[in-house]
Order: sequence, then C-alpha cells, then structure tokens
Amino acid sequence: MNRLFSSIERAIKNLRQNWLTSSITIGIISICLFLVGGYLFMTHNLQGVFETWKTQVRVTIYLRDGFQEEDILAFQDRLSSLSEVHSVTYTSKSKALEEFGVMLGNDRFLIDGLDRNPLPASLRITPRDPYRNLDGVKTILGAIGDDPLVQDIQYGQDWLDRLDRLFYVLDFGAVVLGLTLSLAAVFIISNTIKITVMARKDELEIMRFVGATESFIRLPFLVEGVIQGMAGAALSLGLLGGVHALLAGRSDQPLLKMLNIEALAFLPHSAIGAILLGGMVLGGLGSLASVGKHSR
Amino acid sequence: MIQLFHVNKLYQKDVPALQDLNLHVPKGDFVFITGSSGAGKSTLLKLLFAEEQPTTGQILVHGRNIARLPVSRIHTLRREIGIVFQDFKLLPNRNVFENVALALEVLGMPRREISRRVWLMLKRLGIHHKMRANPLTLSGGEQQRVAIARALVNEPIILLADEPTGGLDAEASQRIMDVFADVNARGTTVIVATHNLEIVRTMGRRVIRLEAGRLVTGGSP
Repeated sequence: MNRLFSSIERAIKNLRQNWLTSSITIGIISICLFLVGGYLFMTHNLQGVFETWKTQVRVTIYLRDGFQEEDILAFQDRLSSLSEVHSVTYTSKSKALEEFGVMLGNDRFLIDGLDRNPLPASLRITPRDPYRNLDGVKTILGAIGDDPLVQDIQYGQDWLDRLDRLFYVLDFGAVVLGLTLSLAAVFIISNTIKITVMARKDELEIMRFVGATESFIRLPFLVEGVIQGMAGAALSLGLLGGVHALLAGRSDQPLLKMLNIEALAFLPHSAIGAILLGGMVLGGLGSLASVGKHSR
Repeated sequence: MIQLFHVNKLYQKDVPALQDLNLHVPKGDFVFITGSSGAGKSTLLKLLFAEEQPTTGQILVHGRNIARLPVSRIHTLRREIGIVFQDFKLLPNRNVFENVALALEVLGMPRREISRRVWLMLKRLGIHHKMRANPLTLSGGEQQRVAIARALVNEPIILLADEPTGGLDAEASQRIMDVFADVNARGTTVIVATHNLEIVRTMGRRVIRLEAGRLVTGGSP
C-alpha cells in the first residue's frame, strides 16, 4: 500500500514537473474520447428516432366485400392471437369512407354522389417489437396464410426494405467506426505518452542503474497514464456536455424537427462510465507500452 | 569476488569488443582498467553491472554467475554495485539531495532513514552545503562527487567507475581519487576504467591493461 501511495505521489510530482507534455497528452486523449463520445451521443439520440420509425411498421389487410361482420371479427381474433402480433384494428367500409371524406376536406362533395361505397374494409396489424422489420412482417404474412377474406395486403415493402438496410448499415457502421476511433485513440495516446517517456528516458536509465525493479519504475508511469486518461476523459465529457447544452437550447432546429427529436438526451450513465474507464485503461496501457519499450 | 572465465563479447559479427578475457579481482581490491579508446574498458564494466551480456564465457560476481542472471533479477545485482559515469548522469529536474536519495528510494527505505543517510554521505564528500542546488549549477568536480554519493549511499560492495575524471582538471581528479581510496579503505572493491595514466601512476594500484579487447597485463592480483 505504501508503494502505491509513493507511486501516486511520484506520479503527481512528475505530472507537475512535466505539466506541458502532460497537458498535451490530456488534450489529445480528450479529443480522441470526444470523438468516440460524440459518436455515442449521436447514435444514442438517433436510437429514439429509429425506434419511432420502427413503430410505424404496419400490415394492412384489405378485405373482400360481401362477408358478414362476424366473419371479419373472427378473422381479427385469429390474427390478434398470433404471437407476432401486438394489436389488430378493424376499419369497416363505412368508417373507411368517413375517414376518406375527412381527408378530402372541402372536396368531400366528390364522394357524396357515389351510389355505392368503393372502399374496402381493412384490418391493420401492428407487429410486436421484434417483428417490426421485413423478416418479422414476412413471418406474420406466413402465419396469416391464404384466407378467402383477404383481397390484398400492403405493408410498404420498399420502405421496409430500405429501413432494414439502413439499420444494417448503421449497426455495421457503429462497429466499424467505433473500432476505428478506438484504435486511432490507442495509437495516438500511446504515441503521445511515448513522447513523455522518451523525455524521461535518462531517469528510467538511472533508476535501473541504481537497482530499481521494473515494477518500481513502471508503477508511477502507470498511475500517471491512468490520471492523464481520467483527466482527458473528464475533459471530453465536459466538452460533450457543452455541445449537448448548446444543441438542447436550440431544439427548434429544422434538423431536430425533421428527425422528430423533441429533447436531446445526454449520454447514458453506462456510456459515461465507459468513457471514463476507457480513458483510464487507454492511458494506463499507453504508458505501460511506452515504458516497456525502454526496458533494460 | 569478481571472476571472468573466457569471456567474449561481440557487438557485431566478426567485430569482437572483448576476446577470451580471464580476470580475477579479489574482495577489497582497487583496480584500474586502462587501454586506448575502443580497447574494451567500458564494455568490461557494462558486463559487470549486467547492462550487457557476454556472448560466451562466465562472469562470477560475489559468487553469482551474472552471465545467466535473468532480466528480472538484475536489480538485485545492481543494488550491490555503485556505478559512476564520466557524464555523471544526474537528473536536472531533481536537486542534489534528491539525486542521491533516488538510490535509496528504489529500495523502499523509509523517508527519515533516506534523509539521514543522504545527509551523511553528502557531508562525507564535502558537498552537503549544496544539497538544495540544481546539479547543473555545480562544477564538474562537484557533479562527479554527487554522482559518487549516489553510487555509495546504499553501501555497495563494489564501486565501478567509467572514466570518472574525464573532463576534470588535475586537482578535481585527484580529489575524486582520494574519495575512491577512502571508499576502498572501508572495504569496498573499486574498479576504475580510465586512460588517465597520470592518475594511475600517482595512485600506485593494480592495473589491468586491455588492447583491442584482449587482456595484456594484470589479469590476476
């Protein structure tokens, strides 16, 4: 324990003595983590938009004319009992015409002279959450099977297909971008810390000559790296907080409106923890890697 | 105390730094290693404190074969050896006291004991009045005494010095040698690599002469 305290003491002393290089290291760590955090911030907020889009996934079944209301309600019950289905809403022929009339507004007179209602009755299926995608909808269609009541089924196949591809690209992009940014951060951080280690290679050499163990030499560097990483992470979170406050204060922005984002959320606790921990680990590992190269 | 058996050291293929070196330095001896530049003096010292490993041969220091010493155990050897360099190797971001204290800090010694020992060592070498000074503000002779204080403060059984009087005037050089003689008189084995023949003659101690990596004279006491 004494050794750890002594290492912390030496690390703090070293940080103060080499404040300029330490500040540069902290600055670079914060920029790297700001980029990673910015990406997390963006995807975290867009996640809500994606969820909203997913709730728009519907399957509409248009029904043939001439069937009794009881047949339709029985069919509705059968659909509702499917495990993939969240809810089924029935719209009768007359209701459909009424809604169409409301939609026409002042042009309602266009349908007033009709001798018969041309609109079909319909059942609108809202899938359960895991089935709100192209594959899920296809599963539901398979479960419906052939039924004499069904005249036509519409589910916006093109739109769903595009949404599926978008989710795939976003998921793939998240992995690729996350990995690339993390690797870049590790590379930049370890090289920055290497500069501070290089600047002190005489000290390392002398410590070895007077009989210091490798752990005695490395521990303060590890502590320094961890402190720098934590400071860099805290700084990056501060910057992200500033960006969040700036954007949140301008929620009338067209882009936010277009994406249907009412209130920008800051990073979740897990992401904040991950950035802090990531900074400490990156700083520590970067230090160790740099000191290790100058062993013996 | 120190024995070398058929030691060879090659830095590059076909360019031997040391060739078939056999040497014996008893405990408490005071030895000069002389020879022209490139004779192998510094290489021999580096082998003794395990900065370099011999290409072939065995080296016994205090009964331990350091040719087979694992890297993780080198610190145990270096804690028994004090090392002094021509360029002093003092840290400019530490004052005189802190430079000397470094050799005890690495042992994990309590702070109070470190202070006591460093103070006594600096006093013994006559530089205690400069203990708060930055080493860069001292003269060459004073800097070398600080380096010697650092080498001796943990009471090593062997003191190695590589050209310790290089760049120093005659008076400062003699003062350094007086310190070494005093250290030796207290039981420490002293090995000094130098090409300062004037100092060697004045001191009248055993001389090991190297030429092109080979021992010419003085292999045994």
